[in-house]
Amino acid sequence: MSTAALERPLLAGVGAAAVAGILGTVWLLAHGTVPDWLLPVAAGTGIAIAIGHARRHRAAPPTGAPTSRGLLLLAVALVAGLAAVLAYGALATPSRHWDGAVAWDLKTAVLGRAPTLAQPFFRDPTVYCHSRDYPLLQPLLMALLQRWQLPERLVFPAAYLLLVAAIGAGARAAATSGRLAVLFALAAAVTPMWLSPTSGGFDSGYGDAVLATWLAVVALGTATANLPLVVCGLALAILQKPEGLPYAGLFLVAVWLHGEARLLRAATAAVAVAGALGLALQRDLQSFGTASPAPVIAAAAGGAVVVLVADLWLRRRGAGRRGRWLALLLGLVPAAIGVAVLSRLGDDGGVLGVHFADGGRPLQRLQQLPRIGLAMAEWAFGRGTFGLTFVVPIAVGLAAWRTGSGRRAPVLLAWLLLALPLWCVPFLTSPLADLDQHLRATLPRLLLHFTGVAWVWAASQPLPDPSLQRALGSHRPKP
Amino acid sequence: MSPSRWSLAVLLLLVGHLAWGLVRVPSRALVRRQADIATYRRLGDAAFLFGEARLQGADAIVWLRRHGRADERVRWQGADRGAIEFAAALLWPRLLVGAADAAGDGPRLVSSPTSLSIQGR
Repeated sequence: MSTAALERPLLAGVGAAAVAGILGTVWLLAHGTVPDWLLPVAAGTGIAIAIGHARRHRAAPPTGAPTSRGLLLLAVALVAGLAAVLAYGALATPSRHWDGAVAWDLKTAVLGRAPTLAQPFFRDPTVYCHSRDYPLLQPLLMALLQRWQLPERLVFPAAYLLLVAAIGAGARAAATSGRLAVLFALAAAVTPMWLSPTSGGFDSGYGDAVLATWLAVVALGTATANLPLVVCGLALAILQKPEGLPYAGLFLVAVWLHGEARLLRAATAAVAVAGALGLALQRDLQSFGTASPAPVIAAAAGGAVVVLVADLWLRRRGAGRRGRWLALLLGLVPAAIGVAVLSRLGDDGGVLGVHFADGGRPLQRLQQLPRIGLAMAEWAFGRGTFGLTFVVPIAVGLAAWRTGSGRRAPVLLAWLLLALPLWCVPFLTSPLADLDQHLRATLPRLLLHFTGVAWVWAASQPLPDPSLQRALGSHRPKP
Repeated sequence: MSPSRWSLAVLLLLVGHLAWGLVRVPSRALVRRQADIATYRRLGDAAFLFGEARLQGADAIVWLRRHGRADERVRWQGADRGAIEFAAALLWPRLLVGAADAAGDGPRLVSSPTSLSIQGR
C-alpha cells in the first residue's frame, strides 16, 4: 500500500471536516442556522481537495519491497477489528463518562435539534450551560450527521482509523519498507489509551482523542510536505478544543525556528483564520451574542502579518537560527501583554481567563514543578497507559543521533519538545487546589493529545542500519 | 552501539509495544467495555453515570423526567459543579435555570458537588 493510497482518503476526510467546521463556525458567528446541506457540500469539497491535490502532486512510486499481501490483509483485519470494537462502544450507549455525557453529548443534542446559537441554551444567561465557551466543532459535526439520520457517534472510530492511517502513511513515506510501515501502524493501533474503555478513549465521547487525530494529521502533512493536510489539521485542532490554539501556536514557533518558508506561510494563514474564528466564537458564547468578532479578527490578521513580514525580513538579511530565536524572544513581549489582558478579564475571560485570573499563582506554584515533571514521566512511561508510545521516539531519536543517520521532519521533534513545558502550564495556572487530583484527571489527556505526533515522527525516521532495512525490504531500488 | 543494534532496539520496542497492546485487548478493550455497556443498559443512564462518578441523587433525575414536561424549565440552586453538570445533560430538553432568576413555587433541584435532591415535590 502506497503513501498516496492512505493520504488521499485521509485528505478527503480531513478536508470535509475542516470545510464543515470552518463554514459552520462562520454560520454560528453570523447568528444564523447552519444549513443541513453544508454536510454533503463539505464532503464533496473534501473529495475535490483530495483529487485536486493528487493531480497536482504525482505520487512517487513506492520504494523498497512491497508488503506481502497476507501481512497487509492481517493488518487491515486487525485494525478493522479494533475499529469495530470502538464503533460498538460508541454506538451501544451515549457517552458513559463525565465530560462526554455532561458537555459533549449535551451540546450535540442541543445543536442537533437546532444548529444555531439563537436559542436559550446559549443565549439565556440564567440557563445552566457547562463550559459555555468551549469550541463547537465536534458537537456541530455530530449534530449535522444526526440531522441526516446518520449514526453520529461513528465519528469516533472514524477518527481512530484516520489516526492509524496517518501513522502508516508517515512510515510508508519515509521510504522504509511496507512491512515496517505496517509494523508501525499496528503498534500504534493497539496503544492502550486509544482503546481504553474509560474516559479519554476514542469512544468515550471526549474531544481529546479526536484532537490527537487532528494533530497527527498536521504531523503527517509536515513529514510528507502535504500542505493541505497541515492547514486542515491545524484548523481542526484549533476548533476542536481550547488546547488546540496553544498547540498550533507551538507548531508555528517550531516552523519559525526552522525557517521553512512555505510551511510557515500555510501554517500562519491556518492559525490566523481558525484562531480568529475560534476566539470570536468563544467571545460570542461568553457574552451571550453581544461581543463583536471584529477585535479578534483584527488581532489575528495583525499577528499573521507581523509573523510573515518578520520572516521575510529575516530571510532577506540571511538571518540564521540565532536571529530567529532573538526575534521569537522579542515576540514574547506582546504574548506577555496578552496574558496580562486575560488575567484582567478573570472569569469573564472564559476558560482562558479562569486560568490566568491570578497572575501571581504560577509563581507561587513554581515549587511544584518537580512533582508535575515526575507525574508526567510516570504517566508517559510507567503506567502502561501509553505502552511504549513515548519510548519509541526517544529510541529512534537516540539511534539517529548516535549513528548519524540523519533526522527527518525536525519541526515535529521541536514541536514535541515544546509541548513539554506547555503541559505544565495548566497545573501552574488552574484555580484547582488539589494538584494530585488535577494531575490524575488532566495529565493523561494532555499526553494523549501528542501520541499521534510522537508516532508519526518516529515512523517518519529512517532506520540507521542498511542491512536491517534490506532484511525488512526497505532498500531503495537503483534507478 | 552499532547502527544494527540501534535498529534492532527500535524494532524490539515496536514489537514489545504491539505485544503489550494486544495482551490488553481482550480484558480491557472487550470485557470491560462489554461489562460497562451491560451495566449502563441495566441501570439506565442516570443511575449508571451517577454511580460511575460516585454521586448521589440519580433518583431526582428519574423523578423530574417522570413528573415534568419535556419543554419545562427546571429551577435549581446550589453548587454549579459536580452533580448538577449531569442534571443539565440528563434532563435535556428541559433547561435548568437558577432558582433566583425564575419565579415559581414548584419542585426545585438542590445540588451539592456530590449530590442532587428535590425540594417541594
